[in-house]
Amino acid sequence: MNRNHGGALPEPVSSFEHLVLPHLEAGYNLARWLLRDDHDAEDVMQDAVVRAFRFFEGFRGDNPRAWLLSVVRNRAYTFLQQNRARELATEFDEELHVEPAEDETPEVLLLRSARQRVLNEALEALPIEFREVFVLREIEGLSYREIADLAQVPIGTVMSRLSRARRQLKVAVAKRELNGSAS
Amino acid sequence: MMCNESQQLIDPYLDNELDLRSALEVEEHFSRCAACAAEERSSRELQESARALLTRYPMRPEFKARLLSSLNAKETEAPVPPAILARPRARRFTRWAAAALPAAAAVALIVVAAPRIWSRQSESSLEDAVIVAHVRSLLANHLTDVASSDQHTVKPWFQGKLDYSVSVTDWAGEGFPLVGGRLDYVENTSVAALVYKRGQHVINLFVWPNKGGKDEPVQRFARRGYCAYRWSTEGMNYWAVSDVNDTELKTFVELARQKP
Repeated sequence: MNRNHGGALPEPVSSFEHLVLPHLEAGYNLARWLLRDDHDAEDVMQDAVVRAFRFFEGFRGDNPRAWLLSVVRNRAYTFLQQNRARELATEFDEELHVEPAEDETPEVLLLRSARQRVLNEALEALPIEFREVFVLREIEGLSYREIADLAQVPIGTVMSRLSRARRQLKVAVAKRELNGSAS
Repeated sequence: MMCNESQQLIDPYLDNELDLRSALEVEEHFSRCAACAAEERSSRELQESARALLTRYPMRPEFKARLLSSLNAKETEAPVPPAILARPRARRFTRWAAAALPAAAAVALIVVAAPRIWSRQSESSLEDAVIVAHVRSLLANHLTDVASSDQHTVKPWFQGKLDYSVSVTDWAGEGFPLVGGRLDYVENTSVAALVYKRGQHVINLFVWPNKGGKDEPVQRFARRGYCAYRWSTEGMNYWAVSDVNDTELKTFVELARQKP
């Protein structure tokens, strides 16, 4: 940690790599879930990391992971506003289908757990504010308080969004599994 | 407690966000109300399968390396991170560049001040960084980018990802089977990580060019319960890190030093 020899190196560089870099994977995963596209997620992630680096000196908190996630989230929303504003206003749509990636041949799909695919697709189809709290809770394991701070909404809103997200997901999963077995 | 109240509390109950007293009241309600109990069960099932099955999207190793090297861009005359220039899609370049140029310039300003990374002075921080890279490889469920016990698969995989060649040997016969390779970074520089197993223990062998060029004898250091050996030979730095016992790691180091 102690690298500040001879006054050559500003301390933030060293702290940044120890505190923030370990959470890049979590940051990228959030960007990918919010944007639903690899290339856009990479653009946003690059942007977020450059900004995180730039503003790191102002970081005084004790949770660098939540801090990086909030920068990623902020950049992702800005990106969506500029490029795909429609997505920020979509109501929950049962019929919204996400195109499977090109390399997902029927053989590959068969190999993957059907349940996993159904879950991923159902979550991808949720509107962003519900998708976001669900990812932060179930993948990143954040508490209600941490999610509230990050998304800048009251805890009660986190709770109700999570509850709605779960209700919608249960319905969507059941529906997709039913369709899957019928076809 | 009535059903409408219990319905509100199912999610916070599931997420361990209730105080003890409310949690007990909710449980008491579940014991009497089959509908609410079923609701809680289905939410819990969803939670369990979501945690187990939802995709955790990894960064492409090339992107990760690019991201880190753009942070480490040392040249003032190149304010645009290499990541942007490497993008094949022009549309993205313009969109991205507009937002990124001021930021990239700021990064360049900050990093010019950074000392040469492998300088003597930063030795203790380098030791930390290598240990951190090892620990991270175990924690982040990202041990290998290319999982293969075949040295002829692992070696070519690094080509094009690093601007130097890494020799890869499998020592399965000696009890140290190769399990794969990974692009890692130590102090913001891309390095090759060769991954070996000894029983259930993981050994990371980090390899990168030795800028100083001088051969260094084997040195041992230990930190946070991990033991590591480092040496430099034929223009390359080698760091072997593991939580395996010292004698076994030493055996591994001797093998690695004698390799072709």
